[in-house]
Order: sequence, then C-alpha cells, then structure tokens
Amino acid sequence: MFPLEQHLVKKIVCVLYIEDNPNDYFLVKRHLTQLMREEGEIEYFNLEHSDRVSNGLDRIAKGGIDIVLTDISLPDTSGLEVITRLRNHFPMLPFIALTNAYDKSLGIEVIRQGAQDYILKEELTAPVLGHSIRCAIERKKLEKMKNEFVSTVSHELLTPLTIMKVGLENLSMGAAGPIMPKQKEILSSVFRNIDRLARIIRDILDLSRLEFGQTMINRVGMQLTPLIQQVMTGFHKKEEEKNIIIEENMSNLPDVFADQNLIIQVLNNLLSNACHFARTKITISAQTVGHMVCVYVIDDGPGIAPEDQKKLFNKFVQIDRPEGGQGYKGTGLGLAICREIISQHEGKIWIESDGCNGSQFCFTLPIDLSKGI
Amino acid sequence: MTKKKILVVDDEREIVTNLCMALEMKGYEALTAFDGQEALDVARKEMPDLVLLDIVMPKLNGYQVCRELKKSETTKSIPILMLTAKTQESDVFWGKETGADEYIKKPFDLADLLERIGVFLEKKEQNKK
Repeated sequence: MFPLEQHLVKKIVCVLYIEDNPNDYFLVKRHLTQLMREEGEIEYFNLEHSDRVSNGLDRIAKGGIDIVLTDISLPDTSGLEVITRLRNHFPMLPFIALTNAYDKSLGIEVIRQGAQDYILKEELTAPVLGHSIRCAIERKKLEKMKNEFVSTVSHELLTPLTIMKVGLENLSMGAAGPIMPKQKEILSSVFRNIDRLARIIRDILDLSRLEFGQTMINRVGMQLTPLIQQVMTGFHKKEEEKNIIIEENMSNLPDVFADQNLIIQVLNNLLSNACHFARTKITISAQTVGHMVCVYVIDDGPGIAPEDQKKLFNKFVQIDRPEGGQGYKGTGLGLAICREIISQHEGKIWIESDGCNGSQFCFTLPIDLSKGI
Repeated sequence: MTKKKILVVDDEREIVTNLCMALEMKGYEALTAFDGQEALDVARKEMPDLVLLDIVMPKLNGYQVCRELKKSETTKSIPILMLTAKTQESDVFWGKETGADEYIKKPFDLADLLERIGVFLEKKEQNKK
C-alpha cells in the first residue's frame, strides 16, 4: 500500500471511454486498475464511460475530462466521423482511437484526422495503454505550444510590417520630396510584396486558429445563391483583367447550415485559384445530394494531375503555377484553410480533374434542418 | 479655418511618427500618446476631432480607453478608429462593443485610412449643423 502522502501527490487523470461494447470497456477498466496498482505509477485514473458519441460529447462539454479513448465503430456515427467530431468540438483535448485489427490501415488516417495516437485492441495491455495516454497528453501540450508560438510570432511580424508600409507610403506620397517614375515603380513592387507577406501571415493565423477552435463559428440557416452572387461581384475586375467569364448556374437549393463569413472565405479562395488557372470560363453550380448541398467550382484551365490532387489541400503546396508575373500570388495555405473550414461544417472538399481538361473543386455543406421538419 | 486635431495612440513610436507625418502632410494637426492613460489625458485636455487607437498598449488598453471616452458626455462624439494587428472576430466584437466607430487591420493602407478619416470628419461636421 502507498503511504498517504505519496497517494496525494498522484496526478488524477480523468479518462472518458466512448465504447458500445461492454467487454472492451471492462478490459480497459481492468488495465487502468492494474496500472494504478503498480508501484511507481504516477497517475490515478478516473474512468468514465459513454456508449454513444453524442453522450460522450455531452459528457466532455460538462468539463473535467483530461483524455478520451474512443472506439471508431460506434452506433451513432459512421467511419471516422467520431474523430472529426471530437477534434472539431474539443480541439484542446487529447484523444486516442482504439481500433480493431482488421481496420489497421485506419490507424494512420485516424492520426491524420487529429487523434494523438491509436491502439489496436488486440495489442492492448496495461503498459501499452499507460504509455499511450501519457504520450497523447504530452503531444497535445506540444501542439498547444506550437499554436501559441505561431500566434505570437504572427502578431509580432505584423507590427514592423505596418511601420515599413506607412513609412514607404509617406515616401511615395512625397513626404521627403517628389518621386520619380522609376522610384515609383520600385516602391509599388515593395508594396505588393508587403501585402503579400501580410496575406501569408494572416493565412497562417487563420489556419492556426481554425485548427485550435479559436475561430468564432456562427452557423445559421442561410441561402447559398445570393452569397455566391455576392462573392462573384468581387471578381469583376479579375474577369476583365484575365479576359474570362465567371458564371453561376444555381438551381433551387434548400438553405444550408453554415457560417456566412467562413463560406465567403472558402468561395473567395476557390474563385481566386480558378481565376489563376481558367482559360476562358469559370462555372459555379450546386445541387442537393442526400442531406447535403454540393457546390462545384469548375474552371477550364490545365487541370491538376491525379498524383498532385491529394497533396493539394496540404499546407504550403503550390502546384506548377503558370507564370503569374506581378499579379496575385497565392500563399499556399488557401486550400488548407478551405479544408479546415469545410471540415468544421461536417462537410467534405475535394477536387476532380483528369489532369488536362480543367478542374472541378467540390465541397459539401449540411442542409439546414431546423425549419421544415 | 482651424486645423482638425487628430490624436494618434500607439505604443510603437515609429507607427506614431509615420502616421503623424502623413496627417500633417494632409493638413491636420497631429497629437500623440504612447499608452492608454496618456491617451485619455490628452483626449480630455485637447478634445481632438478624431482618435486613431491601438489596442495592445501598456497601462490601459485600447478597449478601456475607448470605453472611457465613449462614456463621457464631453468626449463621446469623438470618432474612434481602432488600429490593430489583432484580427479575430472576437476582437472586432469587443471593438464594436466598447463603441469604436471603425476597426482597421494592420498593416493598413495609408491612402485608405486617410480617406476614412476624411469621411468621419465630414460626417461629424454635418452632425454639428
């Protein structure tokens, strides 16, 4: 038995296990009990249980949970939905997926979707579980530190950038004497690149906030068609410049349940990419698919080779851009931001292209079910 | 006609100097403050026509300064333009909540900023009449 003092300094770790199979639950309970009995163990595990994802999320929302273990084939979710829901609702919480041997390949996917670790149920032992829980908690802490670092650095970078910009603007407005045309030319190139740098910093901040649930998401029932038309008006100048046509071909759509500003951001990103690649035309259309609305942004540009399509939504990926000259240059974060936004709406985003006849970017948003039922 | 007075508040001195240079070039009189408390003192004493206000500052932050100025009968009609590197929705929300008239992201466009200042001053002039 432990002396009392030693028992008191033990760290209490509250574990929630989301699992519909009672046998698996009792197995985990046994392992945790065994861990606590072992001499030298530093945690006291307090295990709670939910048999459905929805109950689990409710329990976490009440607070006090330090780490979640979850099965991935639960009655009220399909596939990896439990992972995305946990990550989207509680981005600060570490969680581990317990998978069956036959879905071994899912393990990596589970990590990519935001879990800190996965354990095959077959290989589950007390030491494996203890190790995994400790590592998952520490990994999440590191992730948080990275996030804070990114946020602080980005803000710090914006201040000197502001000073440079105002200073140069003063110069170009003639504060220190008249500006010759050649000087003007150099200054405008510097301005363009200050703006470009500012865009990159803002995109990094946006993405990091989205990943950590620090973006206020205000979802309401809303109409897509007027929103798309509004975004399109921002591209009139681009149409003229590049001599392309942007048209919408929207059928009658049900309202979607979404955050208007974030969807504007997605549409802006997709349209500005499409403008970059389109030869003559961009078409936006949408249709209802099951309980989702699917939006398509189609360009007639060179398309994207199948081997590049997967990478496309990763951070800082720019694939064979045609010579852009002095125009808008992307930050390589736009599509990663889009993916993050759509994922937080429980939707999906992907690209279809045969690699030579244009690209079709598609994303789905859930239909607003609050009315009409 | 007397020059319009604009108070520039930022703890980054070089932002203040550069903004003042631009404002003076445009024919405004520029007043300066480098922290929140100083901003309040100068604003109360000088009664500027408009305030450009940073948010993250020593002593009092921009939200607090804004709230104080908007609370008082004598200073509440002074337009306040918040200038900040923060961009979160929640910051904009707080800015609006404390009564800021406009919220401008750093790095801002100087020409654009000067235009907005002009619009605010004109509006204020019309309200007076």
